[in-house]
Amino acid sequence: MPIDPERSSDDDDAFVRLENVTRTFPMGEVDVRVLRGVTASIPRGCVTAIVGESGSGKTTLLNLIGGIDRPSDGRVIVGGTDLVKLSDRELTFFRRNRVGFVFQLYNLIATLTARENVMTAAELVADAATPDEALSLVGLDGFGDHFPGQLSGGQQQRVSIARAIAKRPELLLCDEPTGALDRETGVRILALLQTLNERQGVTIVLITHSRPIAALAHRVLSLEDGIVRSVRDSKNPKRAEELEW
Amino acid sequence: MVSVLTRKLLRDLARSGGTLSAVAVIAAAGAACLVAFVSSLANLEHARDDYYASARMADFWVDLRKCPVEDVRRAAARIEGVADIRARIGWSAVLDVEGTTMPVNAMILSLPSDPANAIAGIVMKKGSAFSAGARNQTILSDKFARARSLGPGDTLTAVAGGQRRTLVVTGTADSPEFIYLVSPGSIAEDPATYGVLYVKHDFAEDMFGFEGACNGIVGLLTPEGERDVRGVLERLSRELAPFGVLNAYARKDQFSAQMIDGELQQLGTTSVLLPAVFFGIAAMVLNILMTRLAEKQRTVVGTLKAIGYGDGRLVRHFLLFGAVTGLAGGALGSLAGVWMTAGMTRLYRFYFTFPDLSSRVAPAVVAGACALSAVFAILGSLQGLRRVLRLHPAEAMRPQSPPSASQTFAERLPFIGRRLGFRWRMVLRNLDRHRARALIAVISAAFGASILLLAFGFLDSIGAIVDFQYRKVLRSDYRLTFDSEADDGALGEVRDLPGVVRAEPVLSVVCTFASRSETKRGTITGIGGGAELLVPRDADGCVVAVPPAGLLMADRMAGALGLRTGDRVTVTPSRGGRRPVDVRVAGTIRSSVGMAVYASRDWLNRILNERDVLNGVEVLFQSGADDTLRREFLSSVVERPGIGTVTDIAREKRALRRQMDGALAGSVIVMVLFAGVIFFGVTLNGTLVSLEERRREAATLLVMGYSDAEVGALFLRETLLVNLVGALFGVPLGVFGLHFFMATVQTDAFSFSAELRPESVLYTLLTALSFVFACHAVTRRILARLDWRESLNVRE
Repeated sequence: MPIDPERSSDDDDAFVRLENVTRTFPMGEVDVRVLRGVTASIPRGCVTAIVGESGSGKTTLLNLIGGIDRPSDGRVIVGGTDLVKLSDRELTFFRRNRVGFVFQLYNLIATLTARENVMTAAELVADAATPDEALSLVGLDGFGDHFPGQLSGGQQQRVSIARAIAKRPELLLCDEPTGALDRETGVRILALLQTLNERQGVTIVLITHSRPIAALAHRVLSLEDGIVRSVRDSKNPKRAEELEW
Repeated sequence: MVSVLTRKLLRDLARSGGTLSAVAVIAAAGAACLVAFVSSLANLEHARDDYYASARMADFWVDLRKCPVEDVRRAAARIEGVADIRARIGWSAVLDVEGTTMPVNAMILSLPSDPANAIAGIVMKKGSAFSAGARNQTILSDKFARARSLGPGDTLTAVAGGQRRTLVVTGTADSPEFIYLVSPGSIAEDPATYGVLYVKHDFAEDMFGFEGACNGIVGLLTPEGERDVRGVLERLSRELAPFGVLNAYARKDQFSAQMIDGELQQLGTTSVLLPAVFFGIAAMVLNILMTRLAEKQRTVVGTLKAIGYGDGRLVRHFLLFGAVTGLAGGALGSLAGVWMTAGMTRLYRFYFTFPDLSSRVAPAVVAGACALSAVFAILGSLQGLRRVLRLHPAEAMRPQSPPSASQTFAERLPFIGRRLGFRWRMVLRNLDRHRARALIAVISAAFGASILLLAFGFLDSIGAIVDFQYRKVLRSDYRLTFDSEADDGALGEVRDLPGVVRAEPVLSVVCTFASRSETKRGTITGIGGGAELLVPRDADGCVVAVPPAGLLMADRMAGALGLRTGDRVTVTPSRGGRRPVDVRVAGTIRSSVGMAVYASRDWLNRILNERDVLNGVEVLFQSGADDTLRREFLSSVVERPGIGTVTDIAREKRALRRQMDGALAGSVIVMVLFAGVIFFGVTLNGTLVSLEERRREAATLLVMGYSDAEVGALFLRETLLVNLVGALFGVPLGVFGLHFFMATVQTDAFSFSAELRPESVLYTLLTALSFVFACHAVTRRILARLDWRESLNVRE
């Protein structure tokens, strides 16, 4: 679902709204301000890429959107819910019901098969997809009984995506999903995410330090030293297969 | 200057503080046991040997009917092996305490006018020994005097041998003969109701009509005699046979000595077994930690090797890791051991009367405990060390290949496999992946549970013994014994005493039982056919009728003699004609306590060539009788000539219960604590290692929307399963331990059977699980503090 690039970043159709968000970490005797007043929005049903150098605050921002962390100041509103106001228990329910995560290192449980890994997420919500449906969606029919150790990196990342989408989340947060993969496999993973966005309408936030990869996003937030340097919207993002990095 | 590796060691130790502390605490429990038990053993042994030497403890005793002292001296002089003897007079007495409802008994023993250096002599505690003046002087056993608030200058009235005498207390004393003093027939001490009254020998001669005679010998053996105690006693018994030898026994069979020897033997066993269990478990847990450390520090080790550190330095580095943990545990445990030794000494001082029993801990014992702790820790570090040595630098610096997993045996089972959810599958596969670790946890839990079961089993066994003996077998309120054999006329007199509802005759005769393979001493208790106050029962509590002829023998006694129902045994009574009789074992009873041998009183009389003889009466008293009636009864008993002792059965039961509870309470608490150390230490360690390995897994689940409790539950399942399986194995192990320990307290005089109530097995499992849940609370706290953001990107 392409968006109108003319619309401002705090438009009404925003699924995620970040208002003057700061995050400070105490590091020994000094406090390090990783985010220094981020205000931005992420449109519903789109792919948004957050780009920036290492240490720019990308992952911290993703953690705040996913309800893994709390801001030091400011507001994080996801799907109309102000996460700052939620208790730890409510944040757990928020993550459980509304968010799917895809990690750079896949984070699969080594002692569970692909199907069982997906099941860990599927059984958290009532109307989840079955593990086999989710695995089928990521092109892993017939791999349900394989353990992570028996799968390639790309296949493991597919299982990780299957696990994330099995809950039918409104928001899919991907932290460098191709960071540990070769280019060819990375393209396949990105194509999969693009397809999920287009067919299922899932809002995807993608972290990458590679600007060429960001070209598949409808919106690109560039982070530098903990603040948003630029917001670039694209009417016709590139297809994953066209990307070069 | 501190080397780089030493700095690394110190920092690694600081970082692994939690897990290493748990191992150190388990090792500390081992060191504490070692220090406490070895020190207590040494202290007790030292105190006993010193006491025996300084107060000339006798090597043997001979109880006689009546024998001229000169004959005794001549006989002893003729027998090789006897170094010295002392003839004495002993008599049981009832004290006439005005207005009491509690019978007070005593043993009167004669001493030379100058008791210094007498064989089986005394050590004065208060006041002075006999003075030249008055003859009716007495020295009281100190504990009895304290319990009855008697001291020098006080007087008391003793009734013995049909004589009533007022005695003046000159002092109080202890004797190595009565380090553990109980009234005859009892095993619990009750100093307020039983004591020893030492009197001048000439006074005793006069009181009992024993001028120039004695009824007991205490003697010392030469070194040659010590090597053949049995032979010496046999020869002496033969020489003195015309004067009526009632009993002749060596120090090892003397009751007080037997109790101390039994305690020393138990301490000896425990001082090896318990530390071995704790050190063994500490070594196994350290094995898990060191193996994990070797995995964790692969890259570091690879790098160190690559830059030129030799194997020798790395070995030293990793060995120090284990040794420091072991030494820390040893030091901590030694401190606890010193404290435990003091506690055990206090307990021994309470039950045993020594002039000097101090709580000493030899530096060598502490050094030994620390060294053993370190050695076990080093042994536990060896496997991890082997991994470090095997690492090739190039290989070590590459990240480890991802762990593999596969279906477990349980999952492949057609019925179970399909029903297992992913959580249980995770648990089983994790256990399968770390089999050695799981096995160690199971073994540790088995030992932990067996210690718990042992603690509950002790309580059960003692409870069962007291209940069996005092509720089922012995149903009387008072037991009267006579100085010498009486007849049914005496029984009639007892029946006429105020408050007596029922009185039953008893004839107890000490005998020697000789089978083809063994010879043992024991007592035949002769009771009437319809006895209701002393009722032989089997271990299930069913009444067993006394056969009209032959013996009804406790299976332990029969077993010790190698006899079965229908077999014949040669019985030599120590009374009457003392001629050996060949009798039949008419039946055996599964007895839970004692080595009892019952017979019909009439039959026993026939064996002794007597008729209607008795030497004791069991009395059933009016229920709900007031103190006035009891006082009246007791004063009438004391008035009656020939009464030897009066025992209040309810009080005896209370004394036994109190003593057992007192001795057991501390041990049970310490045992539960030790079991807790094992469960808590091993489980916490396992969980911490597991959490460290699976930090990313836990963080991922938390990010996905699992709560702390749900993620914690995954770890809990694993620890619960392992501990439950271990605890189940621990049940038979504990039952075996219980039987083993109860067998070590068995003597010829009495034996206890191991009893275990089914609910104690349940309590064992529940207590074990409660430790696991307590540990889980710690796991939950660690999970709540877990830094997910950092853990999400940890390379495993």
